[in-house]
Amino acid sequence: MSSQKKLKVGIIGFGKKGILHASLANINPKAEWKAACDSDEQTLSLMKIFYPNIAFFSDIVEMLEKVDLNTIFICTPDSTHLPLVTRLIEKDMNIFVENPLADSFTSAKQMVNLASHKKNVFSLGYYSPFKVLFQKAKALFESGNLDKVKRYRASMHYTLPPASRNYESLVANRTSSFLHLIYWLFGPVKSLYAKAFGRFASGRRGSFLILDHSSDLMGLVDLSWNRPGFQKPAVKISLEGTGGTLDISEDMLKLYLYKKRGEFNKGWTTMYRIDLPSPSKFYLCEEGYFEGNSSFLKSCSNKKKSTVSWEEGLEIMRMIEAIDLSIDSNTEISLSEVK
Amino acid sequence: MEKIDRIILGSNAFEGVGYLSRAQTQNYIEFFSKKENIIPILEASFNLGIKSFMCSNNSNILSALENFKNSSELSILAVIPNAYEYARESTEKGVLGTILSKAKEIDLYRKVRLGLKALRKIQGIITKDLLTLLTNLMDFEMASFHPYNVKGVILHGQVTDLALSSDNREIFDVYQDLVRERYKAQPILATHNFGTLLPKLLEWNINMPILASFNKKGFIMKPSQEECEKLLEKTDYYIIAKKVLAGGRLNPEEAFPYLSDKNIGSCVLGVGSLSEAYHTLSVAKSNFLTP
Repeated sequence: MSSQKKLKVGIIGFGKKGILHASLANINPKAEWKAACDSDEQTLSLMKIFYPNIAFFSDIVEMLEKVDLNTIFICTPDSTHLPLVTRLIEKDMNIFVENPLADSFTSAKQMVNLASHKKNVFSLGYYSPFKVLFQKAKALFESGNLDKVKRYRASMHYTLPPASRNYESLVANRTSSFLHLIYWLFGPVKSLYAKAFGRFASGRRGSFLILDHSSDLMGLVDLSWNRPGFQKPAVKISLEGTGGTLDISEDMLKLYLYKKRGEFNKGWTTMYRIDLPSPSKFYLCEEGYFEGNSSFLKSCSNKKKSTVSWEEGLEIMRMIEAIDLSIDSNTEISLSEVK
Repeated sequence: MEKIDRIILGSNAFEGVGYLSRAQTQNYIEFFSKKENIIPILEASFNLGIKSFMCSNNSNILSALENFKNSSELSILAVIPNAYEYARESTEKGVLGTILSKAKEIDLYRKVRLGLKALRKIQGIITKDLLTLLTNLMDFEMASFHPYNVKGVILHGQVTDLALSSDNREIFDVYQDLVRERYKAQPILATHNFGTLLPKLLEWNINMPILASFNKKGFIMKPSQEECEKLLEKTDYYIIAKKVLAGGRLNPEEAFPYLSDKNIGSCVLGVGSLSEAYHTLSVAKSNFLTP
């Protein structure tokens, strides 16, 4: 691809995720990272030293005026997403937003409305669909090997870093990623009931959820972000079907079948992530980031809808809104009522 | 290049890093939070003749080293920065921002004890160049290793790969000069992307030992196992293999035959228990000690 046709990438918010996306875009032959913007002067000064060929700005307007860009990664706190998108949408930009889509369901709806009139590519940072083991889990669930699956239990346990300055943002990020995994694996939720210690997104301990999916699958979910020993969020999902069971975690799948089905024998089959071939050509931080980043850039180049859409992000925000409503009212909430 | 021992004890498990399952990781975090559980493994390894130890400045590890009677006889391969700790704490401003914050939080007593007389420079780096910046950051990271015989300094894989993706040759140049001249040690680059890094280093004419994943399963061998193996076969760079046991999916008896006919100079082996130390290191000695 000639340099004229390369996507011209700008980063807004140059923290951990901003650096990650800039680096991944930079090694992608379809893209060229050209500029970044951050409100923190010290960060900018440091980055100017490490990346002498990149234009750094403290003001977004200035960045957009001075550098010719067509693809933006927004890696700032979720409360800034709507104001930024409102500003960028008229500039005909492809936009990738780190998760969650916004800080509220109302803001997320406005973002989707704004994007609906544009032909650009809009995506967000949910990485589960790009992880090989979760892909395998989804394929197993959909293969019918478990026969009728009526229920699952799921948990996400995490130890928040001590004295975290952005507690709410971290909880929102980790929780919405987990809810997206459930949504992606099992489809939309039609109603839910939630109990939490404090409000969901800013709770101090965690939450219990009962999710009733449109497919009639029922899920019992336990979320905790104050359990020691979980430096990375630990996800576990146990499915029970009439034909067997499937336990899903980030590192392995455990399948138990009551009788032989296709390639799988009766009894236990364990599949480790390490054993599954990874299609990723570059590894930075963890599996999924490279694939998510390059999938978005590929969609931009081909002008095709991205793998993870803002509409999906809106559905996750609808779930979060319903969870808060359920906690406040202590009743089951139908998602069709959340508008 | 200074000789690097053929077998090196690694410290991933001591830092709570595991690849097999979250349960394993959790066990490591709990078990190795006590220095009393690290010291016997250092002793066993030392008694088996493994005199090189690759580690970061994790506080549990430093505490174990302080209390291990033969620590002065060990060759330390220091991994900087302590990326796992920074990654955990750096949620907003990334690794560099967190390093600066941490540097500022250290009290005067500790600054003096660590020999960080030049710490004020770290706070003032925003007006300085790359050399000054890296010098001060590295002084800060290396201060904890001051009492030990540091034979090599390994740039953490995440940092190497970030620098690689930014295509910034100067970072690598400055890094190797600093390690050689300031710490009188061997600079080493860790990477998860051997197949991208080696061609780039060749293009830049930079030669340093590379610490990269090599295992029978192709685990974290990027861009692919085949491409990494092809590059390995032809290179005259000194290669140190890591993830030899594929994150625990290979037992030592399965893992070492793969390494023994490869162009690999050294290997790093992490162990999660005393029995594992005796088993893994003994098999490594009989299969890999003779080049």
